[in-house]
Amino acid sequence: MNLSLFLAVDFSLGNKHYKNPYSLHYINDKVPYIDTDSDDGDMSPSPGSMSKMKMAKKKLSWA
Amino acid sequence: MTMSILEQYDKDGHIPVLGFGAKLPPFFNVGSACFSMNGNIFEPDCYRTKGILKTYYDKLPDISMHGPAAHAPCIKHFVDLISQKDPTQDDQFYNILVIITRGAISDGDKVLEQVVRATNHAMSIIIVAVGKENAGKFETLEFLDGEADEEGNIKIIDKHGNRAKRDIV
Repeated sequence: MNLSLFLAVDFSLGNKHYKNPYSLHYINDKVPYIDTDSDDGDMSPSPGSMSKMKMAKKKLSWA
Repeated sequence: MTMSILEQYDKDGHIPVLGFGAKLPPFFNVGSACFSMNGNIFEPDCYRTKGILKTYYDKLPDISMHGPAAHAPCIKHFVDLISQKDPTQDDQFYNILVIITRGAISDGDKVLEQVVRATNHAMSIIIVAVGKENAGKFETLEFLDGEADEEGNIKIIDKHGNRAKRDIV
């Protein structure tokens, strides 16, 4: 009897599974790891945007 | 591991591989629930586990992982493919669909529908749930386990009232 295999891969595994040894992502160095569960995330402003400090200073200057 | 064991029984070694839960180039605007991992939906075959991993690593940087994890479209695609040819006494074969998932499932009703449909054909489904973080979520897949009740009837029933003919998951 012949056996035919079919495979479906869930790509919504997400970055946080990158460190999981059972995940295919574990051995793929091309995927950047972003710890989405961490509370101390990067709060720095995106390039080109005004920092919170600058915003506060601007508000003060108008007050 | 699962694939490398199962592939020993696949005579030609050509394994169609579909993916779901990702946004695809060039626009990355819609999450796709069924796409060919090698980019060719008409011929999504990879050669053995080695070929699957190579394709996976080659294509992964080009796509953007994205929810929801809708399983039904991929299962439907395979059931459609498999249903085109049923085994006969002279030509016996069996099909196995392996689903590698993190456990979360966003379209349970539709999956049940396709699983019930798949019970009419010569196929089984093996679900490989990955990710320790989601250990609790694997319980969400238990509804696909078609155990029989006291009277011997499989418990899986889709929303239309069709009952699975056998336990294939």
